[in-house]
Amino acid sequence: MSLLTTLENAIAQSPMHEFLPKNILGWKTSEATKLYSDKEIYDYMNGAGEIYRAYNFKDLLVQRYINKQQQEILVEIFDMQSSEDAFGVFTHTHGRGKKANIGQGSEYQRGLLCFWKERYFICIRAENETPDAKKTVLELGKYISKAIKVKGNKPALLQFLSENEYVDSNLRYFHKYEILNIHFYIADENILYLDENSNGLIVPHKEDKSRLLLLQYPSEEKSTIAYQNFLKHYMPDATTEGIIQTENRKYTISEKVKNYIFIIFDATDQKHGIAIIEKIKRRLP
Amino acid sequence: MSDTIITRREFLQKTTAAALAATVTLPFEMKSENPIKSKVLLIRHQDVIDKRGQINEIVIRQMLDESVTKLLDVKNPTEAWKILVKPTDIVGIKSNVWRYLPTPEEIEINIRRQIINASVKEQNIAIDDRGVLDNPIFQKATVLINMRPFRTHNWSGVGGCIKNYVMFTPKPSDYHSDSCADLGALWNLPIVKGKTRLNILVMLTPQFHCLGPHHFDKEYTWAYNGLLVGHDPVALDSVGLKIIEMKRRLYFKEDLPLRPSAKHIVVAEKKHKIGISDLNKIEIIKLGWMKDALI
Repeated sequence: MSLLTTLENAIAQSPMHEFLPKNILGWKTSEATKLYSDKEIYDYMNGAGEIYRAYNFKDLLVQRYINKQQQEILVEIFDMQSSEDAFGVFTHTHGRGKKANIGQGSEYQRGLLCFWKERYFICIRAENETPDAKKTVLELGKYISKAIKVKGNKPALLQFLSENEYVDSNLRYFHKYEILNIHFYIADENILYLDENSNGLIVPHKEDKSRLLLLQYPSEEKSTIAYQNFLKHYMPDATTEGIIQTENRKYTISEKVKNYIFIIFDATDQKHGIAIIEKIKRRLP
Repeated sequence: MSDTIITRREFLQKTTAAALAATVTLPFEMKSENPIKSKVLLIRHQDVIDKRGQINEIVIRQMLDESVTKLLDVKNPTEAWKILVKPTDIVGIKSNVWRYLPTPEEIEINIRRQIINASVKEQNIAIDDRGVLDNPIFQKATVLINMRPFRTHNWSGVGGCIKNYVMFTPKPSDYHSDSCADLGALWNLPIVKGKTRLNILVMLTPQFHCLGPHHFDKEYTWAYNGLLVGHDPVALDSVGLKIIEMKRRLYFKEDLPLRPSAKHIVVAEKKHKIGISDLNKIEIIKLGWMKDALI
């Protein structure tokens, strides 16, 4: 079997292939569908592929559409293997546009629609944001969302957050410290020992803009080692374990419970930070 | 894990100290006591981009000629190029073909012309980007000229002079970890090390913001009408980054940090020792139109 035939078969067998229309609102597919698996994503987007690989990316399906004026709309469907990771990679990019009410979470800005549903993360981008292109981008989004029949679960870590207390549009879910450091720089090395087996979220509090970092490790032993390393490098001068007033005169407050680590950065008030952690602890399983 | 871990607290300390210092000391340009180690030339021209967004070939040629003449402190561009290349040299011109913002052909043609004028044989010159490892001229090059447009990048913060050499490795993904922090290491690869005579960071219409991989939107570019020219790729990227940051501040009306940060520029100096990133140690020579230069 030739390489081309193998690739065509792989595309045909991918469930993502079924999500795409041949034509929509006068726009039609302009070239063959392409499929990139695992490290092949670097062939498509170079270093930016690391973002998706940090969320357990499996396959990427790419389809281009054109209209009569040869303008282009690009569709990228990422199979992230789990709904948690589809949600995670969506949170890596969200917070820049307006909600589009497509899929299980979406944003639209300047010709770019991003949304997630089940284990898929989808980006649809118009080369030029004309009214026609915008309408088609949104219609494509609705079409794909409808074709994905089931919904997925959000990460279990979110259950620790009280409703309306946090800035949801700035919530980031991740596994690796490289992603955490992009959104909130902690240290130039992985002092919290995060890896593909850990789960984390960071989110600003609505009131004082402090950041809550919530980490879940696969075992209590791993969380203990990570927590001790964090205390050693981040607050070696703390007089009370896990509490320090930092150089910006705000507070960092941390605690480890079971296989979880909770850290509040930049709390304006020490008591408020402790209260946040206490509230989260009450929601522990 | 190393003994010298830098945490967020070190940055908080510096930020706090800087805020205090700013209230009692001289302006930025006057503060440095550090010796100048790198020279970057910024040249701009009001008419290099016309109303249709096309590059004016005559003006870009003048800008390139003036910049190398001034950078090498000689009388004319011919003299400058004779210092940069010898007739026996084999010259690879590392370009960039990214479809939305490639190295302009007008710059490629001019640089090639000047190298030929400096008596380098035509068959010993090549312009390439993604094929450099398979290109016989690049394989045996004695001189490299590095030129590309400056833009924000979804994984490395920015794509500039340092990053442009990622095609000199068969495995670019080896340099992806930690937001491409170690891109500077590329410049110590044998195929590259010590060969680069000139860097041109094209700032004609730089891209100051992106929404995702491969994202391009004209809204996030502007006619800066400039070129940054120099020997030190780190210094060029550092100055380019400052201009982009200033533009972002003006556009977004707040400090919206690059996501991710372009940490590879500082790491290129501190770890890989291939240039200077500290703006206090960079001499910026300005030529031409300086309205809204942002630096």
